[in-house]
Amino acid sequence: MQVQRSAFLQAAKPLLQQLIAQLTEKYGYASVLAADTRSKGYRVGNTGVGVGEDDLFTCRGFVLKVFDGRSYGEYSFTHLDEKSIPAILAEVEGRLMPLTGLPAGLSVSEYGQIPDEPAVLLKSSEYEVHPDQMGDEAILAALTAIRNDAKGRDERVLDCTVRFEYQEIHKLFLSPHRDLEQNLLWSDGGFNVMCPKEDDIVSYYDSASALGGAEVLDIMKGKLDNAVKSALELIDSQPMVPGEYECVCTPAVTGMIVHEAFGHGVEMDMFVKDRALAKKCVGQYVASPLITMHDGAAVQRDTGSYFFDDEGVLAHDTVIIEKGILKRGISDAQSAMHLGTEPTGNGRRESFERKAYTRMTNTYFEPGTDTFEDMIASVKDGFLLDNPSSGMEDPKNWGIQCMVNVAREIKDGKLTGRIFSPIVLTGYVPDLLKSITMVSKDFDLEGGGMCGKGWKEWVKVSDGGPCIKARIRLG
Amino acid sequence: MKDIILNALRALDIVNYQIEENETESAELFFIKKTLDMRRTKRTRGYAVTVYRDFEAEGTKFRGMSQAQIFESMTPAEVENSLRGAWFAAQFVKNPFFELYEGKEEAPVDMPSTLAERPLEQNALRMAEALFAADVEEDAFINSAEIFAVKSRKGILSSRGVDIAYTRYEVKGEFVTQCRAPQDVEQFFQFGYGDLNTAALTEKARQAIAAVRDRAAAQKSPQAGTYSVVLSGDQVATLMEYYQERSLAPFVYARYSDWTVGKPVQGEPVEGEKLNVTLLPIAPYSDEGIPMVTRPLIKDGELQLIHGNNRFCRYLGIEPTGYYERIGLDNGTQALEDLRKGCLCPVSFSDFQMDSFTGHFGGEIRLAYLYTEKGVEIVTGGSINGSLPEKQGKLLFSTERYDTLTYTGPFAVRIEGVEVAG
Repeated sequence: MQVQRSAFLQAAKPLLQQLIAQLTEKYGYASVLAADTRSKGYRVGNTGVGVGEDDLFTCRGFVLKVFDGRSYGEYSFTHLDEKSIPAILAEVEGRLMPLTGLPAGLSVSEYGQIPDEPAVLLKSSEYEVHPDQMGDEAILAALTAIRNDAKGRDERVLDCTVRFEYQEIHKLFLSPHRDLEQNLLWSDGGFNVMCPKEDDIVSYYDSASALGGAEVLDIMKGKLDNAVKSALELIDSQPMVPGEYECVCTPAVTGMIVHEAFGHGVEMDMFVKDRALAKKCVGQYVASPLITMHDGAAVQRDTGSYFFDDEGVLAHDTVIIEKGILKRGISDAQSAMHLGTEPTGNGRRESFERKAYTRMTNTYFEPGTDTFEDMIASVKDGFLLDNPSSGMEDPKNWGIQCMVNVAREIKDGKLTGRIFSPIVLTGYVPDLLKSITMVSKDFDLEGGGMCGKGWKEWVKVSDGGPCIKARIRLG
Repeated sequence: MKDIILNALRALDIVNYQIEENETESAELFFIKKTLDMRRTKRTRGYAVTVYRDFEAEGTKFRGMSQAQIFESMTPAEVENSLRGAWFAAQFVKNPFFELYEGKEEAPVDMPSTLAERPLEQNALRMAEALFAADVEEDAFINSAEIFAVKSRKGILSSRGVDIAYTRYEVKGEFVTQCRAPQDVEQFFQFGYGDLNTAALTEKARQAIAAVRDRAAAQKSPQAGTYSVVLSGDQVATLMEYYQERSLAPFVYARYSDWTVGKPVQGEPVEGEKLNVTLLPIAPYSDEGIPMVTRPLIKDGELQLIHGNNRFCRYLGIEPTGYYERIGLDNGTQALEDLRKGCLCPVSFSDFQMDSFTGHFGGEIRLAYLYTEKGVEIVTGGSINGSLPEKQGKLLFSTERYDTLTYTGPFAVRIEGVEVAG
């Protein structure tokens, strides 16, 4: 089934076209992104049951972008009808674009006009089961069944919070020469199995996601067994002895390294600001020759997939690292103009209320040829790293800060059953990526979380890849 | 729109509800070095409507709830359809019954702020001027900055008499400092003020530029081992969130926390300073219209209050307090100069984390000062990893103070026996 179009955006389109026409008369370029997104979440746990539309992603509004011959300004608003057009024009012409009072010593950037190549597009993503069709009662019943299953397996399970969310996204991008419309359905869910450990609580989180609908609930069910076992094992976990170890990373940990340690470093708005070391390394080996890395909304089918970005650039499949060599970064339209490069369809906004930045989409390493078993067998003294919990980018210095929840000890090629937690991964990104000696045939993407730019600007993404074996400093 | 919502609620026979109206206006400036790269303005309005539905199952009374987001561009039919969806969903939300918060009509509150004295664009430009006033050297400078001047109005109307509204102003943002030699490094900083606090921003930027210059000079990581560590600034605020979160009613109700009023939550014996923590309001009302007042949370290491939103407080049979986003600490007995003797003092992390479930804190060090008898050594890299429940009995705080939108209290805390990975 295909996601239906938004009646609201269809009705708003003539007025938006009128706005663009009027603004273009005065300014060299004007565009508008209109969004009509409904995001609904379901949650069960010890705190009870929750259902509702969230206020982070549920939105209906517009953002105008205007070029005054040298720089760009944006106006985000929610009210649009015939009568509001003069007020919108007055806001742009009277408040946004005139730049008065800029303090001494500060200047305004000089940009060219966005090329605005002609394009018309109308596309919708597909799904198997729309969550609305499945219904609130059935979704909550499915979540409750997962929770009860987890709690019923062992009396030490204190709680298993289970959640499911979906976003039905409708976007319309209009400029003098572009008329793009997309309708998407992203769904994701996850659970957190919690067990008491003395005065603390240990937990194991896992998730599932798709460019699709409620079918992700079935994927979630398949991951519960490992989550419960792992949470129970964490009760006996020990603190890590700091040091550098041979490590095998699960696809989820690989995904965190791909995304946090490297992906943020090739966001080219950071190149513009001279904030990314990667800018100086294009064409150089930054990883093992076993590594090829992609980012793209046009590849894979997950929560980073779309047909065009929030600046009206069509989705790409960008090969960032090819056999260990950094080939290129990813960029939004304005950064690409600044750098004289082509935009890669990575200009994304948290919502119509926010600025567009260069953001990742579906980001991953290609699978290799090794088996997971061979990788474990090859480790004399090290760890299997699993269950990423958080990560932070450091594009400027390529420092790694990633945290994982589980390190399983490997001695002489075998898992010993000893488990360590929590673990901080540190080091220098290229050192880690160049140390990769094995890459598995497995491949998994996860889009259950959100990505921030610094500490804000949340967007859905997915990341992952195969298992990798590398030397990593753990603390 | 409020009338359209009320009409729809009546048409659907929904008698228990809360309508939250949010109106935001902002002026935003985005700089790359001293060049304005983008300017933005915003005017938005939206409504979050919570509907409550009572039902019985197997002899037990439940009160389900669900939330719908309503937009000013919606037609009356769309509003009714959206609320019907929420009403339908609420019948499956099998939560134990609880009494809704009873309130009354109050006069709208305009929170006093010097930011109200001029247009938002001017506030944003004044803060830009203040930020870049510190950017006067060539070797270390502001790489980029984002400044948001925001006016927001929140109104809450409920079926149980709550009818309140308030307006608040804030200027907030972030900036990155950079130093190119002897090595090219950067550091990230955030700021937020309820007044046009230009002097504070200039001083913060001045210190941030000095810090990045130090980081550029730092050559080596601290040696792995166990250290006395002094955390400061935002890291102290993050660390103290543990006490605010572990005492939340939903944590206690869900048995994620076993804290009770009167419990010595700092452990026993306390060889360091006994904690004295206060919950502080940042707005006159909570998101449910509960008046927010200053409340003691921990006195001499002993918990004084379980706090939180209406539903979980009702479940626990305690007074609903609303959700607090700011804490204050009355501690502080040591001058910073004395506190940091013999200590590793990280002043910047890539991402300092505090896990309120486990009490673990940690992060990768971007810049730290190691104070030894031989002098001060600047270090970078490595990470710290500790457990607050294990270390909290020996905490010592500085007499120097630190204030942000979410914290007011000692600038620094000394923690003994923290593992550092080099």
